[in-house]
Amino acid sequence: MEAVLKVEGLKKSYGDLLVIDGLNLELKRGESLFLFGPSGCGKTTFLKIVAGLIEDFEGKVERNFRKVGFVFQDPRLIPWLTVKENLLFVYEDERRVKEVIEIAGLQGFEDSFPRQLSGGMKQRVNLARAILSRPDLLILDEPFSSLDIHIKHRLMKDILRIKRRCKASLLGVTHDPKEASIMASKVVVLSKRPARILTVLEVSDSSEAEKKLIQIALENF
Amino acid sequence: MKRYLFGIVVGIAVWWILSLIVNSEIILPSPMAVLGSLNKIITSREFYGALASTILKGLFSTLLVITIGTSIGMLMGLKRSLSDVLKPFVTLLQSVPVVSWLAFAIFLWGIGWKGPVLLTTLSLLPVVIINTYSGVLNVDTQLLEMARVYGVERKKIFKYIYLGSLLPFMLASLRITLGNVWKTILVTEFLCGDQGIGVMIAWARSYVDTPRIFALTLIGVVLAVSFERTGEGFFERVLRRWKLS
Ligand SMILES: Nc1ncnc2c1ncn2[C@@H]1O[C@H](COP(=O)(O)OP(=O)(O)OP(=O)(O)O)[C@@H](O)[C@H]1O
Ligand SMILES: [Mg+2]
Repeated sequence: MEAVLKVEGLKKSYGDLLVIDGLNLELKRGESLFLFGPSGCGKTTFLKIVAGLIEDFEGKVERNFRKVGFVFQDPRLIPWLTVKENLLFVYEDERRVKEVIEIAGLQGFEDSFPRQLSGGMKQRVNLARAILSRPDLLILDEPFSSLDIHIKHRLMKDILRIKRRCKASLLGVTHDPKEASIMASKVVVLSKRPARILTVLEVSDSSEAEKKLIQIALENF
Repeated sequence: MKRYLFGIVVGIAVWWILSLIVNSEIILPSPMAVLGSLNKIITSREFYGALASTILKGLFSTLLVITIGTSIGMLMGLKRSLSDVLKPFVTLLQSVPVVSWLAFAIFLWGIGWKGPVLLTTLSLLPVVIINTYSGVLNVDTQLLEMARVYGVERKKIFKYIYLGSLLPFMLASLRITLGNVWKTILVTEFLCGDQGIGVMIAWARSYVDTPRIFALTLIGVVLAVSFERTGEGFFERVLRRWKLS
């Protein structure tokens, strides 16, 4: 199958600080790949490189996707715009915005301002914004880390449902073994900074994968 | 409000006692004498022409300061190269005293309304430029990054992210300007005006009519306070609607 993303020998440093040290990986169409690594190891940096937000790095990044949707670590909503206006800001199509508001379970909150929403609801808007333009690659930067367990699970299910519906590939990062094992079909385990690949795990049974990831985390992070 | 009034009453009492001690109308006139002058001023017809002239100059200068200052501040914030070039000029503008522009204005236009407006605008401009500039630097880079990921056009980024986060700074500029423009206008009218409250003060000075100077100053203060108060209510309403305060 064709690779949506192919990364070879990726290296990145901020000044003297080496953050990513030689990553090789491939994301196939329809796959869900998660990078699992400790805090501060360079996960967000990696996603920004993939999305084209960081341009100075060493190595090769081959992008075969049309459009990318980025679910940020923090919601990044414009405070003085309503939910609907925030969505229209990135994609001016009223009909599609209405559709996505339904998909993300935001009905009734169209005219709310970000500060009137709970953390979970804000992340939903963040997610809704990412799928507006029907991306074929959805990037998730620890989108659940600030949420309580209930909302977390619902949101994870929602994302997997949306992924199937939009036929998108998923590329995510997390430091939570549970998140990785539920969301991913393949988990790439990263070392402490600078990030190197420790192992790659194919997920068939999520609770078993979770146990393995916990084990690896205890030994390496 | 009660305490406020109490303060004023005490202030007037102290003033009165001091004027009795000093016992010289030229150095410190009594409240009565000032009140008499005030009455004479506000019942004269020439006063209203002067008042209107001062208010028009004040509002026009405010308009100039806000539009020019905000534009320059924004450009400086948006273009790094421009800010490097303009920063020394802003510092210069900030440190040149008003009287130095005076000669220039008088050579150019003689006395009239243009001199006071120019001098006032020049002396209030730097604050607004710097305020706006720091507002632009204060824009949330995370939001800008978000807009970049989704390929949002520049025009929309400017309108919804920049202008949105600049609004409180623009209101602050307006508030600072409205609070300072009146005393600056009085000084500049005094120096190179042909009409206005400041010119009336200049005349009163040449007749050594201290009660009249006091009365005119009082009018200037009332003018400043009332504009600031009206402005303040308006700013608060706008900010509340903007969901920031
Ligand atoms: N723009 C930058 N300039 C300099 N250093 C940076 C910059 N961005 C990140 N870093 C540093 O690079 C390292 C990796 O940062 P990054 O945000 O990619 O980590 P992360 O794995 O996403 O961490 P977290 O789990 O906290 O989200 C950190 O030590 C961080 O301090
Ligand atoms: Mg991160």
